[in-house]
Formats: sequence, C-alpha cells, structure tokens
Amino acid sequence: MNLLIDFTLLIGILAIALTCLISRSLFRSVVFFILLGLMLAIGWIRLGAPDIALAEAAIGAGITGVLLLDTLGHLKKTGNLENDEPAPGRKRLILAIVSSFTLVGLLLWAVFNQPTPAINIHLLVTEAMPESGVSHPITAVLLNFRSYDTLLEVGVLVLAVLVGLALQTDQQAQDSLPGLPNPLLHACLTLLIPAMLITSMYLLWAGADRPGGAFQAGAMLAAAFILLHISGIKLSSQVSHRMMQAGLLLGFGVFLAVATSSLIGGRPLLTYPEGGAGMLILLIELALTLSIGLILLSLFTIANSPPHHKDQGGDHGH
Amino acid sequence: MTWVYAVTLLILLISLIVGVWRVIQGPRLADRLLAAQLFGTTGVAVLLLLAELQSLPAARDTALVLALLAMLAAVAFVSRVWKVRPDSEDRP
Repeated sequence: MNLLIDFTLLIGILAIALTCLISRSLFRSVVFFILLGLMLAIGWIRLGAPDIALAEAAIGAGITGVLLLDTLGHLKKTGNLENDEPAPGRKRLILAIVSSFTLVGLLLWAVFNQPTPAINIHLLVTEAMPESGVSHPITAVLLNFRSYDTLLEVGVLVLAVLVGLALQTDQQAQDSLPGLPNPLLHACLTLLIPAMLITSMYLLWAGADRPGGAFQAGAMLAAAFILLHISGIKLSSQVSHRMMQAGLLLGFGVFLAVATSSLIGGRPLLTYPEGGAGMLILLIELALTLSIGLILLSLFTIANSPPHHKDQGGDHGH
Repeated sequence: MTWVYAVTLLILLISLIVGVWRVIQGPRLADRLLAAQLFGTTGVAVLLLLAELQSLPAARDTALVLALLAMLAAVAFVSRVWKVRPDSEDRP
C-alpha cells in the first residue's frame, strides 16, 4: 500500500511538472506551478522532511504563485504577453532535448556517485546540539553552525528588493491598482488575518524545537500583508517610506550586528556568547521574520507600479 | 486503522491527479483556478492523513500553512488577472 501511495505521488509530481513546462498558455503554467508546489510539499512530508515541506507550502505554493499571477496580470495590462509565440525550430528543439537529457544524466551520475563524507556531519550536529541554544537540529544548523549561509541568503533577498526598488521610477505612482471593494473578501479577511498573524508567530516560536523558523513565518506574514494590500489596506500608506526602508533592512542589520559583535569580545565572527545563543537566535529570527515579510510584500507591490513611459514607447514601436 | 488512512490517502491522491484534467481542459481561466483551489483543499486533507499515517505532527503545521495560504492565489487572480480583460477569458 505504501508503495502504491508513493508511486501515485511520483506520477502526479512528474505529470504536473511536465505539464507546467510544456503548456503553451502562461496562465496554465502558473496554475500548474502552484499545484507543483503543493504536490512537492506532500512529497517532502512523505520523505520525512517537514522543514522543507513547510517552506515549500509557504513560499513555493503560496507566495511564488501569487507573485507569478501578479506578474501575469502586469504583462497582460502592459500588452507584453505574446499569445501566438511561434513554435521553436526543429534544430533548437533537438538541441534543447539533448542538453536537458545530458544535464539529467550528469545529475543522476552525481547522485549515484556521491563521495562518502570524510566526517560524519550528522554525528557532529548531534554532539554539538546542547551548545546550540535551540533543540531543533535544522534551526541549529541554519542559525548557529552554518549561520554564514543564512546571513548571505538574507543578503541576497535584501539585494533583490533593493534592485526592485531601484528599478521603480515614480514613488508616488506606486500602488496604482485600486483595492477590491468586495464585502465577502473583507469579511473573510477579518477572520483570516488574525489567524495568519498568530500562525506566523507560532511558526517563528516553533522553530526552536520543531520544524518552523523565520523564513516560513516571514512568508506567512507577507501573505497577510499581501491580502491586506489587495483588499485596499496599503501598508505603505500607513507607514512612512523611511520606516518601510528601515523594516526591509532590519533583519539583515540585526543579524550582521550580532554576527560582528562577537568580534568585540575577541571571539570569531558569527559565534554566540556561551548561554546566550538561544536568546540571540530568537532575536535574529524575530527581526528576520519582519524583514522577510516586508521584503516579499515589497516585491509584490513593486510589480504593481505602472509601466515606465519608456516601455510604453517600445510597445508602440512594435 | 492504518489501512483506512492509506486507502483514503490513495483515493485523495488519485482525485488530485484527475483534477489535473480540469486544469488542462478549462475552458475558462476561472475554471482552471477553481480546480487549483480544490487541489489546495485536497492537499490539506492529504497532509492531515499523512500526519496520522507517519505520526509526523509537523505535517499538520504544513496543512495549516497550506489552508491559510490557499485563498491568496484566488484573491490575487481576481484582483490582478481576471479583471484586466474579462472579455478575453478563453484566450489566456
């Protein structure tokens, strides 16, 4: 029975991934992308990796789907969506097929020829757990043992939103789309938003001893912000521009401050003082949650700004 | 009790795969997205069953996240894609 379930899941994931790729309609591809995120979340649970499943459900199926739908709406509005894209030529198709199969082959070879690690990382993590300040190994790795990677990841997110903000020309013209004046939506939101905020904080808190953490909590917070934004309650009109910018940088700033403050005490970079690790990790995660929520919201609202005049000129040229 | 979970799970997974047909078929954009919403609901059920079957409580958290975020795609669709050119629904 278990084998049958796994097999059905596998068929489903492969079929959805394939349809997502070969679909000629962009909207259909976006819908299949959302479905793929959902199926992958189930797949990760099946594999016993709830941390990845949680991230996939929140970011893959939730936020990315919304960003893609939003982009699609933007493309339609600006007339940049080409419906009748010509089919790729035969030579190009063959080249694409050969190169993708080569890549798959290489990846399979890499998977099957994994070098045996010289040190047992699993054992190292288990041994060091008591010093990490948290009791969930994934959080310990992400924010203590390998916090270097997480710091850089947050840096990439901040960089992405900075580039987005730089490309946005007119600050006042942001949020050009009116909110949905739907009473049903507003009624739903009064129930949903508190639940989302509580879940966000729960995920953040759970990260210490269960699957959860700043990224999942941040995605949940962003989802609440985006829903409010769509329904017409804009955060950017409630909070000053300066505050918003400070919020975007808060997570990275706090993380960097904690990381470098250890240098003052003569300890190496990115280490925590003895006994204070748990508290500092919680502080970093709290700041990160707020910042990730705001960054994802900003990525969503940037896409809604009206097209540049230059782009419109380009359209007329077609 | 385990086999009941397993059989239900299998039926739900098969219904998910059948649901793919509705997304491909359409015919309207709203039909496709509603099928995706159905996926969300079924996905939550699948995750809850897996939480029991594999005794993995974290699967319930994932189901919670999925249930709360499912509405997001529908709302974004209505506000961003649908309203833009309702006349061209059949030509995405």
